[in-house]
Amino acid sequence: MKARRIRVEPLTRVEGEGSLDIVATRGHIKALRLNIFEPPRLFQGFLVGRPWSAVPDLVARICGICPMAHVITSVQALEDALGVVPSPATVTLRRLLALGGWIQSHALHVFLLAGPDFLGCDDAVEAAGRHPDWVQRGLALKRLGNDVVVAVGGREVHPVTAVVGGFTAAPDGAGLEALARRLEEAIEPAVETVGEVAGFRRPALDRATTHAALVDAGSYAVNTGRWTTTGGLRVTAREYRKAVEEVQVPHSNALHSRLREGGGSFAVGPLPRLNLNAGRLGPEARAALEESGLRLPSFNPFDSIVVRAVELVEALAGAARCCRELAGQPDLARAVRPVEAPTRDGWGASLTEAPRGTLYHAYELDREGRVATADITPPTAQNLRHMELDLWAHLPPLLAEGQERLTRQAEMVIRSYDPCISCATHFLKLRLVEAAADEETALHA
Amino acid sequence: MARPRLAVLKLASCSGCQLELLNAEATLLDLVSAVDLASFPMARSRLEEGPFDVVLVEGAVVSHREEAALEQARRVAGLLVAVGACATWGGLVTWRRLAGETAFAAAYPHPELVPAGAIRAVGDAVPVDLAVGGCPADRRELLEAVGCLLVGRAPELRSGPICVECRSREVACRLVSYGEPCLGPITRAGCDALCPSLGRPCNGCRGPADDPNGPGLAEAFRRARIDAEPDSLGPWAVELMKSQSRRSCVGGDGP
Ligand code: SF4
Repeated sequence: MKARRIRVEPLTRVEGEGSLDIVATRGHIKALRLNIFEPPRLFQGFLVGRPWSAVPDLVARICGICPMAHVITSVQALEDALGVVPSPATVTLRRLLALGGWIQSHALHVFLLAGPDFLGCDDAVEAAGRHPDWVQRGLALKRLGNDVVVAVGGREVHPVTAVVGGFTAAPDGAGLEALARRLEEAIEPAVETVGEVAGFRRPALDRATTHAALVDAGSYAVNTGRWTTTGGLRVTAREYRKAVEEVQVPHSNALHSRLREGGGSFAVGPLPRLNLNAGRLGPEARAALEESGLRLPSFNPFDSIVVRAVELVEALAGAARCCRELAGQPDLARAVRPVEAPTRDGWGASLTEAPRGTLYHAYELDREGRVATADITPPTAQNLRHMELDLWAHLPPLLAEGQERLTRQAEMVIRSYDPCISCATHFLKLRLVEAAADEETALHA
Repeated sequence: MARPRLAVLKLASCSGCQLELLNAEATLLDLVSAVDLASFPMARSRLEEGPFDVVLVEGAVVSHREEAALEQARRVAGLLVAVGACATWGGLVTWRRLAGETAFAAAYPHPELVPAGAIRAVGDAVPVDLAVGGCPADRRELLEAVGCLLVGRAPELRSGPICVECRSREVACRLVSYGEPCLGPITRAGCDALCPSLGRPCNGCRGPADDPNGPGLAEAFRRARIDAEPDSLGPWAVELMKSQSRRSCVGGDGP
């Protein structure tokens, strides 16, 4: 029997490198594996023994695209462990920092990474020639998100001001007002973008599956809330590890997340977030969503580009509201000044919504306040299994259509998750080396 | 005239340094028209083969895989630039050496599968024409360096300590005025004293300044009764506090 082996390598326009192996026989997929080539950096190893104060700077370096998410999540988990309660102004400033991250990440994805696929361009460089307005708008929105991050955190990559208990510095009122105005002005072009991407022809890919995201009372969940699935599960950050386990599945060399109860895979990210939080969108994004005609709940990963555009509107409007609120605070620097934290033992956990989905950090500290264990699960690690199953469902009818189209479609499925491979694989590293020896056999089995 | 061909190679890294290029939104389109981004996996679909006029390398070597990729890049690179703390001196992954193998044995079921011996900076594996440090590398510095290289001029990167920038920005000294363990006196300038200006001591992310005196600074901390265990001062402090002579952080082997 003739088995066709297809290799898509390396997957470009995702951060980090991955490859996809498919073994197909007569229109059926026999084996499919998403491979990750991410050199191990061993975070879990060097976090152990470090004082808690050193943790946020270290974990920021897990990912250069969403360092703010790792910083905020680690800070919240450490505060949980140390019994530190941040001020309300700190909570709002953290939300602003996180939303800045959403804006830059979503703008990068919608306009420069995924958008070119739908515009029939090879990549953003080609799109810059054929659709200069599109690329310019994307760059301007991305800059705006970055400017939010810089205003709060000091710089785009690895911001410096967010620490356990608060912030070491805060933007001034005039700067916040100016930023609010720019954010408000950007809502209109972002709403237009929703209309445009809603018009993109998106392949259908629907399979029964589970979505999960934080859900919070009152607002679109960012840094707080309960982790909720479309299957009805609801857990706190402290309960997350009881609900989700990491396992090694036979056909893959990566750690996959699955629900302990029932063992099913699940997806996190913008699409699950909107499915579970549509009722909590602000008025601007709600109107844009209605205009888009997108029907919820949707389990089609190709809809993610529309959802990211909707979330871009939500993040711009939400960030503007944070700026206005904080600008009214008499002495913001003082209001966010770090709360003194004790040196003691403890265990704490935090869940936040990073641009790509739920991010989990948990730390156990010893009596000197040093890390005894660290448990970090980024969104892409949770999505890996789900991505493979989507590919498994989507690709068979395309097997006969030739390598090029197949490659492109596979890339589009994977890209719809905006996989931050460099981030997800920090926790897959051991398996990566271990599986190298049986790689061939696993695939030809 | 053909545009100069540029490639970006990622080793063990967080992608933050190459993202600095994409974060230069205002100049990005100019860059694209001036330079052929012939191999830039984060931004391009088609990756061309060498030779390249300039190869920017981000990240550290942690196994044979990166070493092989790096050697290949060196063969096809006109000029090879180490970008960021990971590439210029190993950066974060060197914690592996500092953390000690016991911690690793505890954290990983099979520590023997991730050999520690392979961990190296780019310049320790292949000859480097220029090194631009920082975590992340500062994009103004990076773009300036690339620009200079392309016109055949040696870039002038700053070599003195962060203190110079605190003085010129009139930022109150974290060490003297606040009694904090600031690494600014031994860290290379070029960030405009970012952290001290934002209320926290320098954590040394830009690597050693020319002629740093780490042990001298440790002594100063002791005299001022500043509690400063190096591993509590940030990801780079342990290495940095040991540095006592000129290191090839700026200039490298020089073009
Ligand atoms: S130097 Fe810092 S920003 Fe650059 S790749 Fe390394 S960890 Fe990331």
